[in-house]
Order: sequence, then C-alpha cells, then structure tokens
Amino acid sequence: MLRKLLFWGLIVVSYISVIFLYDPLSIFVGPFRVSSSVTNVAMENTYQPGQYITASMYDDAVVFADGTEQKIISGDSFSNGSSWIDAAISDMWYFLFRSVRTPEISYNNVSSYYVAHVENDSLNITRSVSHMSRDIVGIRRTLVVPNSSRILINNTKEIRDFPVAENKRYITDGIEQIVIFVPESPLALQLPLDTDVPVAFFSSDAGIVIASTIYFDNTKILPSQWHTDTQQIKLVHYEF
Amino acid sequence: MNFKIEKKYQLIIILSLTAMVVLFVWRSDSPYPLSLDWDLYAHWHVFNAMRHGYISIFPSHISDTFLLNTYLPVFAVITGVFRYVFGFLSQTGFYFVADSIHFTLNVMVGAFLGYATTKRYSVALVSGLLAAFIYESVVAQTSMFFIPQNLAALLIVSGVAFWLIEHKKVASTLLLSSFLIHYVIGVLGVLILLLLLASDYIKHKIKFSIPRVLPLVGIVTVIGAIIFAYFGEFNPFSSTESAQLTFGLLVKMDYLVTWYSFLIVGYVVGIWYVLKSQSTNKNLILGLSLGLLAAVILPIPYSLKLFTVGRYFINVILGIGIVSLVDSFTHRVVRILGFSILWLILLNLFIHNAATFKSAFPYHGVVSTVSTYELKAIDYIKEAYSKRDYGSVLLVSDPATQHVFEALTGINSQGGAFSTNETRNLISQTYRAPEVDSLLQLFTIKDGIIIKDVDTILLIVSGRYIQWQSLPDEKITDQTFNVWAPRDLTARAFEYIDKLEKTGVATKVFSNHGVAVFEINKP
Repeated sequence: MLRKLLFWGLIVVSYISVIFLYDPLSIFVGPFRVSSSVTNVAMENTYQPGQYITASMYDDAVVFADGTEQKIISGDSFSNGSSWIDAAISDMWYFLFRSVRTPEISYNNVSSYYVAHVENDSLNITRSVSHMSRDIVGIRRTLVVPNSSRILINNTKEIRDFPVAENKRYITDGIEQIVIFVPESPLALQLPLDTDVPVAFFSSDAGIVIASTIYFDNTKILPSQWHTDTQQIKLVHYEF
Repeated sequence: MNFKIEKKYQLIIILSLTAMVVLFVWRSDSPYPLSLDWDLYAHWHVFNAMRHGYISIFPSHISDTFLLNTYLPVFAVITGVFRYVFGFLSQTGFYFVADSIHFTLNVMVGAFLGYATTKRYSVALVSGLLAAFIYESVVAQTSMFFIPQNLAALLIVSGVAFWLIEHKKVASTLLLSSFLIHYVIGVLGVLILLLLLASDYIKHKIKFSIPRVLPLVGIVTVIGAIIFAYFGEFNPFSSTESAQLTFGLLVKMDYLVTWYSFLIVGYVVGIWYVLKSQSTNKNLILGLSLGLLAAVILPIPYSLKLFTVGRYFINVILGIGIVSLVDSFTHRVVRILGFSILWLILLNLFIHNAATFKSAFPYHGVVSTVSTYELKAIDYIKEAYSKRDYGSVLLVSDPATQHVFEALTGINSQGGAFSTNETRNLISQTYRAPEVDSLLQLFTIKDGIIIKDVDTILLIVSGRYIQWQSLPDEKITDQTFNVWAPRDLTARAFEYIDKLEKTGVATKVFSNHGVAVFEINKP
C-alpha cells in the first residue's frame, strides 16, 4: 500500500512541479517574441529587446448596445489570475497550437481572455469578452506600438510620425491598411482594416496607441456568451 | 489466435515511437536542413584545414578556432568522413542527420544500461524514456547534439553496459576509446575501466566485492561535495567563460528539478531499493551515479559537463525506483496506466526544456543557428571562391557569422567565433568608420595557423554583424558573447551597406534580405 501511495504521490507531485515551477513559454513570429501575461499579450522585438507591441485589457473596452463603453479591466492589480487548468495545459497549448493565452479575468461583470496565435507570417490576436448581464455589441481594441515607430497609412507614402509630445488624436476613416515601421525590425507590421471603421491614433507614455471599435454580428448572441474578435497582424518585408 | 509480442520487441517498439515523437517535437520548429548545433561548426573548421594539409594531433595547431586542446582531432575526422558519406545532403543537412542519429543512439544506450544493470525490460524502458525525454537545457545538452563530450559519454556508458553483460574486451575498447574523443570525459572512462579491472582483480584475489562498498563511498562523496560547495567555489582558471560556468549548489539543484521535475525524488527511492537488493551490478551503477553526482556538485568550472555521463547512471537508479513502486500494482492495466502518465509528464518536461533552450535561437518563426538567407550567401561564396588557394581569401565578419560561414563555405576566417581582440577591434573599426583606410586595415589580420598572403577579403555584412557592431566595447571583446540567432538586415544595415559601396574599395558581390557580401581586393 505504501509503495502504491508513493508512486501516485510521485506522479502527482511531479506533474504539479511541471505546472507551477516553470515560466510560461513564448512563441515567435518574424523577429518578435510573443508572450502573454495575466492581462495582455505582447510582441517583443528580438532585434531591440525591451521594445514592445502590446494588446492589453487595460487599454481595451467593451461597447454596449446603448453606445456606452466599459474598460475591460482598470485600476486593480491582476498579478495572479491563472488557474491550475491554464497552467496545466499551457505547454501543450504552446506546442500544439503555437499559441499563448492569458488566463480568464473577470472584472466588473466583464470576463475576458486573449489568445495570440501564429499562422505563417501573421500573428492573430483574438480577444474574447462576455458580460454577465448586458449585451455587448462591440469592442474597442487598441494596439500600443513603440513611440519611435513610423506609420504608413493606406500606402499613400505619407508617413506620419507621432512624437511623444503630441497630445492630439488623429482620427481618420476609410483606411484599408496601416503599415507600422518599428525601429530595428527587418519586417514591418501590416494591419488590414475594414474601410468603414474609424481609426484613432494618439501618443502616450507607453507608446503610440492605435484604436478602433469593431462591432460584432450579435443578432443571436445573448449576455454571458462569449464574443470574439480576431485582429490580424501581418509581417511584411519592405524596401528601404 | 493468441498474438503476443515478446518483451524485448515491445521495448524496441515503444522506445522507437518515443524517439520519433521526441525528434518530431524537437524539429517541429527547426525543420530540415536547419541546424541547432553550434559546436559542430568548430570541428568542421578543423576538418576544412586538414583537407588542405594542416595536420597535427592538436586541434589548436590546425585551426585557430581552438584555443585549448581538450581532445584530439579524431572527432573532426569522424565528422569529415560522415560528411562525405552524406555528401548528397545540403550544407547543414549533415548536422541534422548526425544529431538525429546521436539522439537515437542515446536512447538505445540508456535502455541498454538499464537492462544490463537489472536484466529487467521495465527498467530498461524507463531508463530509455528518461534518456529520450530528459534534456539538460544548460551546459550538458547531452541527448540532442553530436559533439565530442556527448559521443565520449555514449562510449563510456555503453562500455559499462557491455562490462555488466560480461563482454569485457568490447567494454575495455569502448571505455579507452572515449579518451580519443574527449580528454576530460575520456579520463573518466579510463578511471571507470581501472575501477572495473580493480574490482575484478580484488574479487578474485581476496574475495572482496568493491561494488558492495561503492554506494557507501558514493554517499560520503556526495555529502563531502555538498559541504565543499557550501563553503564556496574553486576556479583555477581566469577566463570569463570558466567563471560563467561555475554554478552554485542551489543553482545546480534548481537545474536538476527543472530537467527532471520532482520526479528526481524517485532517485532516492531507487537508492533505497538498490541498497536493499545487494545486487553487485546495481551497487556498481549506484556507486557510479553517486560518484558522478558528487563530481557535478563540486563547485568547480565545467563540472556540470560531467552530467553528460552521470545522467545515464542516475536514470537507471531512478528507473529502478519507479519500477519498484509500479511493481506494487497487481493489475497490468494499472501498471500500463502508471507508465502512460509518466510518459506524458516526461513529454511535457521535454517540450518545456527544449523550448527554453531554443528561445536563444529564434529566427523568424523557426529556431536555427543559420538562416536560409545565410545559406544562399554560403552557396554563392562556395561557388565563387572555394577553388581559390586556401588561405588567400579571408572571411571577415562578427564572430558568430565567421563561425558559421567558415564551417559551411570552407573559406578561412581568423578564429571563427573565437577571433582575437586585435581582429575584433579592426572589424569594429570598419563599422565605426566605413572608410578606405579601415577597410584596407583588414589585410593586417593575422591567422594564427595559416600564414599566407591574403589577396581578397570577403566582408560579410549580416544582420548579426550589425547587431554585434552595436554592442558596447566590453561585449565586442567578450569571447563568451555572440549573436547566436541569425538576423536579417534592417534599415540601419542598408545605410551601412550604402556607405561601404561609396568607399570604392568594397564591391558588393551578393546580397539578399539577410546578408550582403563585399569583396575587397588587396591594392
């Protein structure tokens, strides 16, 4: 009996050590290392360590049917949101799907989790949100890119710089695509967009924020059900 | 019809399937022909020089990539012979095949030692599984790389296994031959052979069994090593590398848990069952595992490398521990379930440790020490320059690019990844001041071995070159630091390339998104 207990004890303790002792793994797309934390997914430029492109729950908001918005999370610290299930599947998730994901976070009746998934030369960031009682019709999604990035809008060869000091929003619509030139990256980031979606650009201490609101096709979705939005970031070569 | 597969075939099938799964996981993000083997490039430098008549028993007299002589050039010759056998493969295809064969041998030898020690297929299975799945992501890196220390370890372990099954001439040959492959690991092989011979001799002369006392000696040695490690470290060398590779006791324990998880506790269970069994073979392997563990614990530089050998003995004892516990289950289904869960935990461990190691070599969605852009540049250089007199063309770039390009093009560089500070400073100057003078100064670079007039400099401007040039001065001259992963050219690189072209002495002969090759001829 003691030997049987010892065996299963060894198995359980080993698996628990695998789950909890290790740091989460990163995936790679182009020159970027993609990792997830409790509240965001981030792309770090391996050519310039410390330079990040981030999709964060702190910056994003859900949009309700009456047009009001609510930040997905704010204020509180979410230092530990992972469940043991998240931890248990994270390595297999990494290997099977080349994905990283945040744990599921609940704040002010809004639940959310983000997944970043590599597909060829693209990174797809999927934001999943739900509300306990209200119907969500859209999500304001933001991407924060390094302050020194240069942004090419609609291939018009008009490169706008967004210096840190600039405190204005630049809002435009009719945009089909944005190309972001991150310093020291050999590849640029291309964001395909729907032309009827206005895009706002503004700079903050964290970097240049690119924000747009996407509306779900929510005719059959009820409160408490998950709404998902996938944002594609393509990595492209460009001539200097 | 009662269809039953013999146990030994079950073992072979399970281990073969496991090896295929592990190789699939390992290669899933670095597909053929991409290479993860860094050290093999250095041996290829030696073989390239040997092909041109530079022969010596000391690698440091053949290629200035080698600063120390820790082995004979035998390994370089072996890789050279295999390179020609697999000559139909692409440049790095050979590395891919060599590493895969090495991994498979590692699994077989792990299982062989387990069986030879216990005569039980279940212990052989666990020992083989541990050899396949346990990957030391720091220093030892035994299972995945065909390099001298790992080949020498395989020779030693298979030598011990042959000794246990009474094939003592084969065993002695294998143990002695390990010295031809790697001096330090080989000394271990010779010491183990002396121990085995002494054990046999004393047993016949005075009927005293050395293996019986080995576990006790091993335990005392481990305790002694822990006490020694507690009081500090002993580093007789002055190099930065040796300082970096001297790890404290807690760090080593952390590594052990990272590589094995808390499954390593099963080693203690294994010790208990071996001590209870009074088996000569098991006591011998336990004694060796404890002795090698003590050597690994010692606070001296490079001691972690001895884990390359020690892991196989530790795996057998750990296997004995696990199998002894599984034996308590009377139902075959429960035993199979237990082994299956163990297999899944080990797979999870491998995925994590492999990914941790490979995070040092990310390159645009794959993991490799060389990019496809670099391989195209290498093809071009081989085609255009390899027929020139050896030594008349000199490759110049950052240390990592030199290391990879010298191995795969056959064109000499000064020191590969281990170029001298003089060379590094001259190369650094070509970036800080891309002018005629600094470029022509490259002709003053002196190779330590190949004393010939250089007619042509090939300046390789790669993504790594640009990144290396941007480092602070202390990193430029730090031989332990390299830009390990391939890099593509950035806007800054193209600006630099424009400046080089404007000098008039550097002619761009090849370029793509990852590399620009400049030819500079002696005036």
